[in-house]
Amino acid sequence: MSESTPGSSELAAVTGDFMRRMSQGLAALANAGEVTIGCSAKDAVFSEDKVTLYRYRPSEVVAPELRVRTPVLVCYALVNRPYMMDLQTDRSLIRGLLQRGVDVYLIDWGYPDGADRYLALEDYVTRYLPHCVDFVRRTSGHEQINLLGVCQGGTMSLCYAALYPQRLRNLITMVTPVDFHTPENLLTKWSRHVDVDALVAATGNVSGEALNALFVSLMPFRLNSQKYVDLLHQLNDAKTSGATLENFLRMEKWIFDSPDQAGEMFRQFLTLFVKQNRLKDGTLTIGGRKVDLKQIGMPLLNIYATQDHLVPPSSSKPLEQLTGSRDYSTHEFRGGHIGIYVSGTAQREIPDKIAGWLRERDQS
Amino acid sequence: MTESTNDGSDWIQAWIEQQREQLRRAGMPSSSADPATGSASGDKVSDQVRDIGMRWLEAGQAYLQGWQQFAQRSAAGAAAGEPPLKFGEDMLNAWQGAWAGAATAGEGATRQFADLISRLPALGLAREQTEAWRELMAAQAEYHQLEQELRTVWTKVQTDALTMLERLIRERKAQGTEGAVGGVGEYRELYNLWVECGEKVFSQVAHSEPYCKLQAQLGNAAIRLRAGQQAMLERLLKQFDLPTRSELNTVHKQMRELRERVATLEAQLAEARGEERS
Repeated sequence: MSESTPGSSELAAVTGDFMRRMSQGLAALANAGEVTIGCSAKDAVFSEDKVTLYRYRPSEVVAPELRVRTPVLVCYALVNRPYMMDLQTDRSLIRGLLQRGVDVYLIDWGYPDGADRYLALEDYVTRYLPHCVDFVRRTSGHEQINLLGVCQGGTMSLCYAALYPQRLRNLITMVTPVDFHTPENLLTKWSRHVDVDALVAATGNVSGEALNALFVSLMPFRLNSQKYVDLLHQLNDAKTSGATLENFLRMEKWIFDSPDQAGEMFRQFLTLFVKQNRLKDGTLTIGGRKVDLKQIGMPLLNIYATQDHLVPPSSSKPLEQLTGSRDYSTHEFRGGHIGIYVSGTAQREIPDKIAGWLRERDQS
Repeated sequence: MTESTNDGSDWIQAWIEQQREQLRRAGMPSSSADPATGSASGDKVSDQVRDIGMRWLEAGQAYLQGWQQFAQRSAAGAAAGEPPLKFGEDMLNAWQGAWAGAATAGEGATRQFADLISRLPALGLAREQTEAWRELMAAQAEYHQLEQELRTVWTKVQTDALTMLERLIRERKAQGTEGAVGGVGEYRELYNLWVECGEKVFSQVAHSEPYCKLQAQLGNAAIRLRAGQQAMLERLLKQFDLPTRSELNTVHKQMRELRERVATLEAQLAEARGEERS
């Protein structure tokens, strides 16, 4: 484009101004220090292989009579790290639950390596998860406990609940995919023609970096470019606090701190759940046992997010028709897959909902 | 868009044109990426083979000339006390010169020759290695072709996003949106609008069956390429008696089976002890 092209000199001026602002933002970014992750005190109480079970220290400000007596075990997804649930003091579902008198345990699946490539669905659903549940049951003295499954962890929790219903008092699922074949489910469409057997045979474990690239490519303009431009622009604004940058960096850390996926587990999950939709169709078996969602008779709270682009509501909602629970509730959060943990509204809304729902169903 | 006004919106149009130009340049197919090259008619093939032969002949001649020059100069140089290292340098130059000519003039022809060679059956002592290399090369070619196809789709997404952006700006201008021209006052607003258009266009494409298929095909091709690379690497590792991933897999599989057997035995033992106590 030559100088004589109409608008070229104005374009040069506005582009120059934009680049100057971006540069100033970059200078501010360069001064950012390290960010810390996690805020609530916790203790490792059980471990098996690379799996660690944590118990969060109860909040001392809650009166004993307001406490939810039955402990909650959080079963997070394998795809990202569970510290999303306790990112920082003002963005922590765990902290919110502790402040409302809930006794919280959390499973950290760890970082699988090459030695774990043959870990299968059976290992996660009929070994690690039951062992964690049994530990909490044994040490808390409760025959039945509450299970809170998040995203893929919710799907695994549903399988567990169907196989071992007698061990759970209540089940909560958050942004959990159940029907993988709904029209909005882009990840399913993309994976339909992928030769997952060949993938796992060639790569062993599936790298977290590859999955990150996949997730980012769902919204390439926003996630590769706009969010960084927005940040630099914000940093250039005098009204922007230092916390904005820290929050952003924490989120970046979480988003890209992705464990590799144990190869066999990934292969099975993609084949049985995503491609074949067996959980929804009632044809899934784990360890030779049929996973029948009708066996889930305990109270069930299903929480989904209206703007979720990873697990669209249409994927979570069918649970109501599939479960055998007579005490089924839903909660619709107006936000996205990540906002449900970290947005301002979520900080009160979600722990309030969960703690209140549990309290109503707590044993006497 | 040919519309040009003096109402201050020219810079937006200039930006759009600038983006188009960039996309046009990025999307220009290179000669090596021409998918038609590999499907020439019989006459074309024989022309190409002749052309390849000529190139190889030229390369060989240039190389031989290099040798002749070297022989002449070394005879003279020996008398003049030329350092022995010059020998290697001259040979390298002769070799590089021959290949530089062939490479610049006959890049396509060389590829065609490789294609021809690749269709010959593998023979002799190196049969297995040749076959493995061929598979690897085929996987690489397939991967590059699909990558190019996907790149073309992405370029189209960006082009369509620009068209959508242009239309939006025009509509806003026609509606007489308050404030700046076309409702876009500064560069960032234009950028945000472009992102919005990009995501809308991409979303439609990304959900389509052809895109899902193409993306998966590329992924599958990448897997085949990686598997081929891994096989070559393992072949090399075995020659040096170094452990391979396949051997580790066998070990891990065996360990897993052993763990399962131990767990079963432990459960049986616990059950038996329980029965004894009761």
